[in-house]
Amino acid sequence: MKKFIFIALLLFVIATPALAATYSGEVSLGGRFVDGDNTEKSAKFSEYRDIDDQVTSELDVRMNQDNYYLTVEGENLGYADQSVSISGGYYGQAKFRLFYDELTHNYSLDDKSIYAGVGSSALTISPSVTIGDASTWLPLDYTLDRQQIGAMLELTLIP
Amino acid sequence: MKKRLLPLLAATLLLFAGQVFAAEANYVGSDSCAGCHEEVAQTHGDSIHAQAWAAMGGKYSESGCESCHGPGSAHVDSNSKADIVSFGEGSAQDAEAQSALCLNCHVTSIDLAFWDVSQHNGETSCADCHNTHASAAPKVDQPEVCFDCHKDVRRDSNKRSHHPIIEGKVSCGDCHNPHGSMEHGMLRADSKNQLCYTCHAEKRGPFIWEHPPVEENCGTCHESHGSRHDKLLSERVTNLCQNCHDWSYHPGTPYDNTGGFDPTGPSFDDKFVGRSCLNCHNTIHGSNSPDSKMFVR
Repeated sequence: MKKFIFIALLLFVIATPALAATYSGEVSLGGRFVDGDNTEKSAKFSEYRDIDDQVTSELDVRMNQDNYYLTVEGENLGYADQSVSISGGYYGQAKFRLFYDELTHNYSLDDKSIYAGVGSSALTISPSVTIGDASTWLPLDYTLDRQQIGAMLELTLIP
Repeated sequence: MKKRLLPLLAATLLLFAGQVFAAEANYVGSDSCAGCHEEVAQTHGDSIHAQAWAAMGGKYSESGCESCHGPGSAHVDSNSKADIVSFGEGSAQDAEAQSALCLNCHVTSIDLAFWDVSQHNGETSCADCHNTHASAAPKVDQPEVCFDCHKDVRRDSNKRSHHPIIEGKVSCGDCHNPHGSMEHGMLRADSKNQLCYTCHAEKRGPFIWEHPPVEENCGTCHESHGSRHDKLLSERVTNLCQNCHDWSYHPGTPYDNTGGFDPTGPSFDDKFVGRSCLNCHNTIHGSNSPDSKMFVR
């Protein structure tokens, strides 16, 4: 589904220049370095964010042509907390919005469990695990990822 | 007596006629407005309103600034805000009158269907939150604009356990419709539970063993915006559970520093260890295990 969203976004971006429209907005790229005492491994620090040494991005482009407009917005593209939306419409007649939003919720990172298959429907105890020896337990990031995909269409039948 | 009344009557009529005459203003065109309001005219030219009106044509594109602000000749003459329709702080019109002007066009919006019953309607005008002169779409900068008034929500959203509001992953408008809804708190669902289920679908059930307060109202145990307790709980787990479960089984007496699950055990503090009651009752939202009436698996 992620691929579909990005392909749709790409098609819109490629197709719009052919419309001889006016454009405004911004595309920004940046970098981020996280330092500290294992800060990037603190689940509380990155509770709802995908924060690491990484390239950051933000997109806010608006196209306008006659009575048609299109807006593409996005941030943190390619990361676990990315969001992208395409909205547009015909002034006074219709508007639409497509969006994809991803949310990560980090409960605890670098956890350990005696179970293999955490997050799946079957938990098993690996033969390599000794219950009394925590050093043999299996590493685990206890996180929850949510993806939200939506669409909206609003028509004005009586202007 | 009649001689005395006549001049008074004539003066009153003159005064009334003068006010009526003064209220009649003519359209002066947007160029006249730009003569003084240069900055606003410039940003408004790029705004979604200006673009929409130019595209739609008709009376909006012809009247320009005066489409919303009304005929401006009296204002040009007097240079007073009282002589023109204005919006936001310092306006001579009350909030309801200001919003009525926006609704001339936006009344067909689905989002505004319940504006008449909105708690914002009356003392808040559209312009209090939306900047229609902005060079982009007049979207509200959430949550900052909402926090300007709802300071208690700002406080809760900054507590250690919170929904990702300040992180920008959940906006006020995701849960509330500030333009009004039929639900308390202007929620975007038929009830608080239905709203929560849009993200927390796994809590919806149905379960073989239902926990009544879960079915009834998520707000019985959880705060909506933030809490100083884990999982946005309104109290610490032991105390929260004992609000109801204070009469039977092992929590027969309120927990204090002398008694826990096992007062004769090695530590009287074991009731607060880990997830407390939830160490054992770990499916507290409901269980589908046939023998888990007490939500232990």
